[in-house]
Order: sequence, then C-alpha cells, then structure tokens
Amino acid sequence: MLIEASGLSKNYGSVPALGPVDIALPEGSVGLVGPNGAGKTTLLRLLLGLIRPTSGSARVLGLDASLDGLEVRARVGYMPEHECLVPEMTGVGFVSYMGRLSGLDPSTSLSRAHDVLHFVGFREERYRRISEYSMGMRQRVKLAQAIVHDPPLVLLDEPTAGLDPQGRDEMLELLKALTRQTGKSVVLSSHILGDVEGVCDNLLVLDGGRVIAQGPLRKLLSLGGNTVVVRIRGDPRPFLAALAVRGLRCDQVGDEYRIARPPRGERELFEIARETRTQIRHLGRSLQSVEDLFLELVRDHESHPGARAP
Amino acid sequence: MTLSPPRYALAEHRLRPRQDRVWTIFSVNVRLRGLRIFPLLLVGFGFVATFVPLFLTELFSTYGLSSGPSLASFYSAYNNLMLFIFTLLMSAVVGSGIIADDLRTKSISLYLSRPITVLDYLVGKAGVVGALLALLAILPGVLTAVLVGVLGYVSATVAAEAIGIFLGTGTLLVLVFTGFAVLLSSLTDRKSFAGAGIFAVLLSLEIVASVLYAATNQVSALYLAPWEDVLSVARWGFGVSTPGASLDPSVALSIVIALPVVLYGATYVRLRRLEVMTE
Repeated sequence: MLIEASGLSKNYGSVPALGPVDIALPEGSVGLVGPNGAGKTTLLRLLLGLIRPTSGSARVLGLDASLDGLEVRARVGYMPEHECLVPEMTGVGFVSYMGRLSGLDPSTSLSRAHDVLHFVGFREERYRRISEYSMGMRQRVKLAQAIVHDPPLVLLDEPTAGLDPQGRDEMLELLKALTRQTGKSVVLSSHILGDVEGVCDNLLVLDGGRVIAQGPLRKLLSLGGNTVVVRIRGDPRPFLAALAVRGLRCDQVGDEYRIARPPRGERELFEIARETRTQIRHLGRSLQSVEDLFLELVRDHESHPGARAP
Repeated sequence: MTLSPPRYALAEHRLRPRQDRVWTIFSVNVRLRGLRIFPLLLVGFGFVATFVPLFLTELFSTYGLSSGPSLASFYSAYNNLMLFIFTLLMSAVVGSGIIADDLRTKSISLYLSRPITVLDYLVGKAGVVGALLALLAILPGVLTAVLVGVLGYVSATVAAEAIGIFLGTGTLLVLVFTGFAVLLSSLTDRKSFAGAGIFAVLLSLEIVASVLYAATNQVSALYLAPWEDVLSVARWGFGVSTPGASLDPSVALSIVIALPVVLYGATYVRLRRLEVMTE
C-alpha cells in the first residue's frame, strides 16, 4: 500500500480537524476530494509528518509518518496550495535549492532542476526572477520543486487553484504526464472534482473530517446513481412508449438510452422489453460524474452520519 | 507546451547529511540577504569603524603615545560606540526579514516539507545573521590581534589571549543580538515591523538601563542591557578595571549565556506553533 492510516485523528485544542479515519490507498493516482474544511490539508500534513496525530498512526511508503517524518519527507514531494516561493530567486535557483534541501548534492540538484523545469514547460524564463512570473508559471515552479528530488510519491494540494482555464488545462496535462509517463504515485487534493476525474484512478472522499468513500474511481462511480444505460437493437419506439406509460424518465445520448432506475430494478426493464418485443443489447449501470457521486455521498453522509460508503 | 517529463529515475543515492542541508540554508541565504547594497555598506563601514580605531590604538601604544600595548589595550574595541551602533543596525537590517520574509511568502511551509527539522531551519537562518554580525563583532578584533602579534607589537601569548577573548565575547555578543533578531523576526510577517522591533528593543534596553542607573545610582540596573553585560564580560576578559562600582562579570556572563537560550528557545517554540497556525 502507498498510504495506510489506522484510527488517524487530529484535533486542534477541542476542535476536531480530522478523523478518526482508516485509509488504505494503493499505488497510482489518488484524488483526495472534499469541501473546504473537510480535513484534506490536515491529512496531507499528517502524512508528511509535519504535525503529530492526536491518535492513531499513518504509514507512507511503509514508513511511520510521525516517527520517521524526515525519511518520509525525503521520499515525498509536496506542492502546497498557497503561495510559497521565494520571489527574489530565479526559477532554476529556487528549484535547485529545494533539491539540495531534500538531500541532493549541488550538481545533481542543479541538473535535475533544469530537467523538471523543462518538463513543466520552462525555457529561458527559468533564469528570470520568480517575482516576474505569472500565476500559471508560479504554479508550475511549485510542481517542479515537488518532483526535483525524484520522489516516488507526490502530494499536490489544490494544484489548479487560481489558474485561468488555459492554465488549468496545462496543469492537468502535466499531472497526467506525471502519473502516466513517469509512473509516480500522486495524491491530488482538490475541491474541483473535474480535476480529479481527469487525472486519478482512485478516490478518497472526506467530509467533516471523516472518510465517506474510498476506492477505485470507476468502481465508485458505478456504485451509486439511479440511472441505467440501455442499448437496443431494432425499433426502440414501443419500448420507449412503455417506459413513458410507467413514468420512467429516459434520455437518449448517442445510441444509448439513460433510463431512471425502475422501482423493481433492472428486472422490470427486461419485463418491459419482453412485453414490447424489444431486444436489449446492453444494460448496465451508468457511470456518474465525480461531482454527482460527491454530492450524493455528502447528502448520504449528512442524512446518515454514521454510515460509510465502500 | 511540450510535455517531456524526465523519464529517468535518479540512481539510488545516499542523501547528503542534515548538516549539509543546514549549510545550504545558510549559504543560499547569505548570498540572498548579505549580498545587497545596504548590508554590504554596513559591513564595509562597520568594519572600518571598528577595525581602524582599534588598530590605531595598538599602533600608538606601541610607539610610546601610551603606556605600551597590553592585553587591556584591546578592550578599546568594545569601548567604541560604533561597534554597538553597527551591530544594532546589522541586526535590524539583516535580521528583520530572516524569518518574517518566509512567513510573508509562506515559503516556510516548503522548508518544513523537506527532510529538515525546525531546529535545522532555525540554525541555518540564525547563522546568516550571526555570520554578518561576526564580521563586525569578532573579525576586526581578531584581525588586529593577529596583525599586532605578527608585527611583533605584542608577544605571541598576549595576541593569542586577545584572539581567544575576542572570539569568546564576540560570540556571546553575536548570539545575543542574533537571538533578539530571529525571535522578533518570527513574530511577524512584516519585515519592517520586525526591523523596527529589533532596533527598538535593543536600543530601549540600553536607554532604560542607563536612565535607571542614572536615576537610582544602582549599578545592577545595567544588567538589563545586554550590551552592558557583554562589556562587563569583555572588561573582565581583558583585565580592565573601571573606577567606581561595576557589574559583576560572573552575573553578566550568566545573563549573556542564558539570554540566547531563552531567545532561541522562544523562537523554536514559536516556529513549532506556526505549523499549526498555517493550517
């Protein structure tokens, strides 16, 4: 496992910020989503060993995050959400500096700084002062410093925050390249659910400091939802008419029909098909968007605080 | 945009030791903060204002204008108001932004996300202020002692003793002033507030102690001023006696040893709490 946590919690005084939570995240790309105040940043800081848990423990890359904080931070890259660069330094000087602080020798750190800045799209501008950079460039420098020491795991806290649509697309392309071309594991914390959907294979959903869902993204997206996808061979009109008679909502998307799940489940659709002599070629659960899933999970969590999705 | 991620992984490398990373913080920040016009001017003028009078004193002593060079004559380095003024200015100018700038830019969170501890960060940062202060508080004295020793104006033993005392008292002075600088710099994210605070605290301690002494004639009031404590230790080290009542050097030494411990301890606690506050 990439990250494991057991009974992990963090309180600030009497205010609970996180947990207790149990987490098991496999290698790959993990989306960490939740509304503001859900505990995402607290979880990232606990995983980095920057703060001590109130209870429980977390293991990152097999290391205890609170006992082996230095070892963990040597193997993990971190891109904070907020502004954190030194404006007086040049891009390459800053990234190289961060590499040296991660334990690289000066020459390795400098050559890696050039490589990762090239990766994030910098050319000659890497020799300019950071104070002259645009918001998008600063975000890319933040990403570069997080990967300069070639960590197997990168924690990204709201990497698209403050970017315009084009900058956001470019950052997401970089993150996809990072996860798919270099094989690094990434934990992407974001409240922009579309970002997570495009980049991540796994999902961890937090709300009010609690885990309300975790697992492979596709599996989670196919679990909830009250829509069934049907493909039909032949004339669909009798089938659609029967659906309308029974008051079942149906939308056509391409050659698929997205039908509100009947009260008696999918079996009812087969009965309608038999009655109307319609041949169903495919029937399956519709994949929701992450946004739909998130809203559904949060609604469930609010109405049943103790319950937890798989 | 061309997406060409580095496809190689770094060979399994042994991480440089932590002291190397502390040295990195120190060396990068010395370049970043020391190699600027105002600190360079302070170093230049401060060095001249402390080295030249001391060296001339030793020179005149040698050629019979005084009673001849001795260990006590080196005390004139501390009997120079310029030393206080320039160390005070250097503490305020360089020390003000040493942590406050990292708080303003929030780069402190990046430092602490690397494999270093709060103590490593503090040592690296305080070292920057300390090194620049040492150019004024230690180097002129040591250089003078070396020069007059090499030129044969004083015996090698006296020169070596003077070097030792300059290193000892100078280090205490640097530790105390640096301690005030890092603590006050860690209390705000505004460099200007920190600078004003450093200047005001160090100067007002001196003024308050002097006023209290003048008003009450109680010499113990001078213990309040770190500068007076350092002078007392220096007088004791160089064997200089002053007419009338003077501070007990052992008490003054205890104060200038305890004060940095308290100041750095408070800064450490403050930085540890910052991790929580930046949530």
